[in-house]
Parts: sequence; C-alpha cells; structure tokens
Amino acid sequence: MMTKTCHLNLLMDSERVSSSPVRLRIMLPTAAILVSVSMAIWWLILTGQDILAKTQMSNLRDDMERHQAENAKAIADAEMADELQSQLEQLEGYGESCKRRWSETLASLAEVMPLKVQLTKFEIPAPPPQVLSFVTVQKGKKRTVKLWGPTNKTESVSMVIAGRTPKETPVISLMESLEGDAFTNSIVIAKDPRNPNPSPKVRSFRQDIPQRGEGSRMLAFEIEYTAKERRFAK
Amino acid sequence: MEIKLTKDRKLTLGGKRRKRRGKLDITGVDLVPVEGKGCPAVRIVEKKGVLRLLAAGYVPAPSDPVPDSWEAAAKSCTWAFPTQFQSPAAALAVSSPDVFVAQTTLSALKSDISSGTHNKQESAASAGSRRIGLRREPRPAAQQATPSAPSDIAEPKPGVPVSNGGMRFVMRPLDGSDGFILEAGLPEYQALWYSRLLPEGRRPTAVSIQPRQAAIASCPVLQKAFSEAGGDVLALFADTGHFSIAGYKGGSMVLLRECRVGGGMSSIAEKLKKGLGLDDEMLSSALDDNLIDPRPVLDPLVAPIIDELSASKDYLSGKLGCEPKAVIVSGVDVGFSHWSSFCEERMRLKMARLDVFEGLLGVPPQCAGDFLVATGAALAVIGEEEAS
Amino acid sequence: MNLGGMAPNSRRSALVTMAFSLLAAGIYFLAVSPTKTRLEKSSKALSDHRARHATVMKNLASSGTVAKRIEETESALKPFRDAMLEPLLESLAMRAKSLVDAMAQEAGLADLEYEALGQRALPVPGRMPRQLHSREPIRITARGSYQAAASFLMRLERDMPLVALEALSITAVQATPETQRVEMILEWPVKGAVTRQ
Repeated sequence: MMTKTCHLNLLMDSERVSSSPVRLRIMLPTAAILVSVSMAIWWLILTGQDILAKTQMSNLRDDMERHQAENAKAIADAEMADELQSQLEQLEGYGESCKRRWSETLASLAEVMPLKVQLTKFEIPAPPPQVLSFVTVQKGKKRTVKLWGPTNKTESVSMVIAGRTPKETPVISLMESLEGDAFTNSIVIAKDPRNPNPSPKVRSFRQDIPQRGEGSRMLAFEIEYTAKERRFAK
Repeated sequence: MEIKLTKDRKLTLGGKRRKRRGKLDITGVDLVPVEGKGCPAVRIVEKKGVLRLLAAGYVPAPSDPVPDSWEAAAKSCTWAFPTQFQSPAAALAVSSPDVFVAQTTLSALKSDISSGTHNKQESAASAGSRRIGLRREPRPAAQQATPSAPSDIAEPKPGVPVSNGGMRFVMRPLDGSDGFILEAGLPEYQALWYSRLLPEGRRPTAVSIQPRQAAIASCPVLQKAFSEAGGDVLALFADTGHFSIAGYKGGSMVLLRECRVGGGMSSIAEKLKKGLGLDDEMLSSALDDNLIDPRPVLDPLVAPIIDELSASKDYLSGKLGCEPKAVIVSGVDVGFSHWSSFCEERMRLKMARLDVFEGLLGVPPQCAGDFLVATGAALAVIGEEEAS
Repeated sequence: MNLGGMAPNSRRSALVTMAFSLLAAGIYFLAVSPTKTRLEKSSKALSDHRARHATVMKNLASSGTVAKRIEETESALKPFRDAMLEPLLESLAMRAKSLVDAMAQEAGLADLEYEALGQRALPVPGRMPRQLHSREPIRITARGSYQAAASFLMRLERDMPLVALEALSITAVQATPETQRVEMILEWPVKGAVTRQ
C-alpha cells in the first residue's frame, strides 16, 4: 500500500471535466428542455382531444335536437306498441279460456242419460271469489300488498250432476258413459284412491223420499266431476 | 448540500469529492518531451491496493508549445492520446520557466499575500531569504485572470488552488516539518491552457496539473529501500541541468529543495569526459566496469552534492528528529557504484538506485528513466486518492 | 449545491435545468393535469351522448317496424274490442240483455233476468300494460228446459265466441217437471283498471 504523497495539484475543481461522452451538463438541460417540450405537446394534444370531444358532443346534441320530435313520436309509438301487445296478450288469454264448448257437453250428457235416471241438477259451480291482496311483514310491520290480477293463469272448474234413480245400476251406467270419448275434452277422470281430488267424487248416494206415482224405493245421488281447468294463456 | 432533519440532526448530500469506489485508472504524462520520441506517459491502475502498469510509452507532444502570454494562451489546443493511454483520468507534469515549487512557511506566505508581494516578481529575490528550497525565478507580470475569493487568498487551504494577480498557486503542509509548507505555482494563462488541453467528453481528461519537480518526489514511496528504511530516507533526483533533494520522515515528505551545486548530470558528465579524456561510450564502460579509477576526477564533482545531502540529513535529524536510513538516487545512470561508495564513506548511508517501476506489476519498458516524472505524477494522484 | 462555486458552464447548465424542470412541472400541474381531468369528463359525456344518439337513431330506424306492429296488434285487438261490454244506460246488465235476450228467448228460455256481478280480474301479462282488462260476469236466471239451455249455449258459443260460461245451474222444479230453473253466469270482456297514469 502506498504512503501519503504530497500532491501539488494546480487544477481547480471547476476545471475538472468528465471524460464520459455523456456530459451531464449537456444532458440534464437537454432532458429538462425535452421534458418541458413534451409536457407542452402533451397539453396541446389533450386540449385538441378535449376540443374534438366537445365538438362531437355538440354535433350529436344538435342532431338529437333536430330529431327530438321524431324520436319522441318513435318512443311513444314503441310504448304504444308494447301497451297494445300487453293488452292483446291478456285478452288472448281470456280468449283461450272462452274456447270451452259446454253446449256439446250438455248435448252429450243428454244422449247418455239413462232412462231410469231423473236428472235433478246439473251444475257448473261458480269459481270462488278472487283474493287479490296479501299481507306481508316488512321490517316488523304488516303491509297489505294488492295485486292487479290473479297470479295463477288457470281456474279450476267442476261439474256436478245430481239426480234420482230407483237403483244404482243406471247411475253406474251413467258414470261409465261419462268416462267415454264424448266427455274427454270436458271432464277429467282420476280414480286413483291416493289422489286427494278424485274425479268422479260421489258426494252423496242416499235413499230419497219417493214422490207420488213412484215406487217405494228411490235413490238420490250427487256426483262431482273435475272439469278441465280454464286456461287464460295461449 | 446539507438538509436539516431535526434541530440536532442534519443530512449531508454530495460533498466536494465522492468516495472512490472500484479501481483508479490514471495516465501520468511528462509534458517535457524526450527528443525524437515524444512525451513519456505511463498508465497505472490501482485496485484494492495493488498497482499495475498497464502501458508505458511516448505520446506525441501537443501541437502548440506552452504559451508564454495571454494572447498565445487564447488559442486553444487539444491533445489526443493513443488508445492504450485513454484512461478516464490523466495527471500532467508540467514544466516551464514560469513554474515554481518552493518550500516556505505558512506565516511567510500569508505575510506575502497580505502585503501584496506574493505574486510580484520584484519581491521574489527579497522573499527568497525566508524560503528554503527551490528558488523562484522572477517573471514578467501576468495579466489578471479570474481571481479567487479574497478569503481563499488570505487563508489558502491545503491542496486548494487559488488564483491571484495572474498567478495560480497551491500549497500543502509538509507534515512533521516544523511548520513548513510546499508551495507551487504557475501563470494563470498557462494553467488555463493546460486545463483545456484534454477536452471534455474524450478520454483522458485532466485531474491533476503538477510541477515536474513535485511529481518526481512521489516516486520513491514505492521503493523497497524506502519501506525498509521505515520511510526515513533522503532522495536525490539528478536531472540534466540540476539536482533536487527530498527528505522523508515516516513516509511523508518533509523537505524538498533544489541543489544549487553540481550543475546537473550533463555538467558532471562533461567534466568527467574532459577530466578522464573519454567519450560518451567509453565513459560509461570505464566507470561501470572499473577499468579506471575515476575518483580523482569524480570525487570533486560528487563531493558538493554529497555535502548537500549531508546538510539535508543534518537538517532532518537536527530540526525534525528524523534519522534518514538510506539515500535513494535517481538519474545517476553512470558510475553509480562510485557515488554509492562515496555516500557510504561520507554519510554512512546506503545509496539505493531508484527503480521507476518498482512496486508496479507489469512489464516495464526500456529507458525506464524517461518515465520517472510521468510515474511520479500518476503516483501522486493515486496516493492522494488513497489517503482521502 | 453551491452555484456560486461552479464553473460558468456548469452554473448555466444547472440554472437551465432547474428553470426548465420548474417549467415542466408548472405545465404539468397547471395545464396538463386540469386538461386531463376535463378531457376525462368530456370523454364520459361524449360516450353518454353517443349512446343516447345511437338510441335515438335506433328508435327512428325502427319506427316503420313499430308502426306495422301497432297496425297488426290493433287488428288483432279488434275482435276483443268489438266484444267488449259497454254500459247501456249506465248498466252492463242492460247491455248484456240487449245482446243475448232475443237469442235466449228463441232458444226457449223465458222469464229472463239479468244481474251484473262484480268484475273478475284477468291474469296480468308479462309486461304490465297501462290499461288492464277484466271480465264482467252477468248472472242470467230463466225458466226453461235442459234442451233450451243447451240450445242457448250452443248459439251463444257460435255467435259470441268471446262470451264465456262461468257457471251454470239447471235445477229441476218439482212443481213443473218440464221446466227447470236455469241460472248461468256469462262473462264478457271489459276494460279494467288503469295501472299508471
């Protein structure tokens, strides 16, 4: 290792220059100028883009204003079209529900009615009243919510035949006839004992008070059939 | 740059000089060209304390001579180095009649400055009585360059060059020398000329401009004899025209002076040839091969120089409490053995020849003596970097 | 950094660097950044406008299709509108009577009485229309035979397909075995509630 030397250096620190071709005193100002120029150019570009965006926006706004009336009419028409379509959908559903031919059922029933059976009642009961509201609990408070219409698109229908007969056989014959093809479109036969709603369901089958001119024994029956449900949809 | 973090703590950024990391790659150049060859240059790389000689050779001298006026200095001249010498940094050892190195005291220097006689040539002679060492020749008054700040001039800092009155000078204390400083200077226009010689952006650029006389004083520090003597040595530098004597105490230079007797090696050689009746060719073989006894002719020529050495030795031992244990000599290529025996007889000191490239790894060139100043210039910078 | 101690070139370089750095920072914070923010807003607004404009153009382009759709729907609605029960002298029963009484009498039903019952709502469609429709049940009680009832129903189903039979009851009367008590509820389509203004 060297000992200390006595270095008499007549070169001032400010005169020492770098041998690197990359001179900081050139590069730094150049870089600073370039950065400034870049910032200025960037700003100009951004300003140009901003002006362009605003011009385009203005053009679009003008075009929309020009077409405002037409557009309003088009929107109104579209809304009307949707409205009419919705109405039609609802009414078509109703129209579907009107396609049941009960006259045919009545006529067919008349044909299959045994002679020994005296029909005392033929009924298609009215559907139960509609419940168009329900109570809901929200945040601990009960609220009644009203509905514009039933949520179910079907209505159940039933058919009740009541009559009098001297014996069971004609009734059985009638019931067998009602299971025939003539009534396939109107009534539902569901005889499975596990079915909660069997069809037919004999409501009553009892002895009846005979009337003047009749024999001593008369049986009164009432049988309910489940009819094909009314559908309110196409 | 200082940033105050809290009331008591501050953070210092940057600083005057960054801590050097890695290797130091420097080319030392002697601006006095060798006739027919060019300016001697050596490239030395220092890494982890190991010095390696990368290249040694001759660089073509600058196209313009050293200017002797402001007008001549205004014309810029650039210098290009061959590839093998294109290190990042270069240390220039300069010489001209206007360059001076002088040993003086700090109080004398301040007194000169404050009285305004520091840079005036008329006072050079009168101030010489308070100076020990190299005599400064009076020169014509130089034009004013950018002067340094008055406080810098009034209180010059060691190693920091200052400009005043057209001159640029720098001083360093001689450690252990009982208050002496070593001062060097040259005209401002020459300093500016040298500083612009190696342009920015090209390798190398100048990191040091040193007087030749100061540069050679860095050479002995790598010598084996120097370390064996514990750094307490005398060094004799024999040049063609004069002799210089440097004294070292504990490895640090404490004395540098010009030896006024003897007239230089060329003068001694001429007198020897005349006295012995030999030509150049015969002279070296006659002296080195002991064909004849040159002592009757040689001793009177060498004795004054040895006396000067002896006086310097007495100064070191008497004033500075340093007993030199060896004498290292450079420039005495012919009849060294006689010089050595004379020195041993008179001073009881061994004389060792200075090997310019001792301590450097690498293949030394021939004519090693040509590279003494260049090597010294490079070693001066390396030594200062290491010390910092 | 001591500018005073620097060489003139380096000092100039440092000053230029600082000046242009400040300028660059100034341009960024005072010009670029606000303009960027403005541009972001403008871009967002522009994309909103574009979306709205595209919708307008789409509306205009489809106006022909919509008109055709309205025409077709109106045409499909006509039979239902024609079948709608409108009050006669503020009475829906009167209107029903005016529509079916002659038919019922021709079929052999007598002593016809008409009563309007409360409306029954129809299931609402997927998209809730403004004008809902419902059905108006009219109870008709009469005297007549099973065959007369069946005949009336047959004619009704043929001539007024949009009138539905909601309920029917043919009950024998002991006093007059040839004549039964016939009670039926017929439904007509009517305008219902308005869901929104």
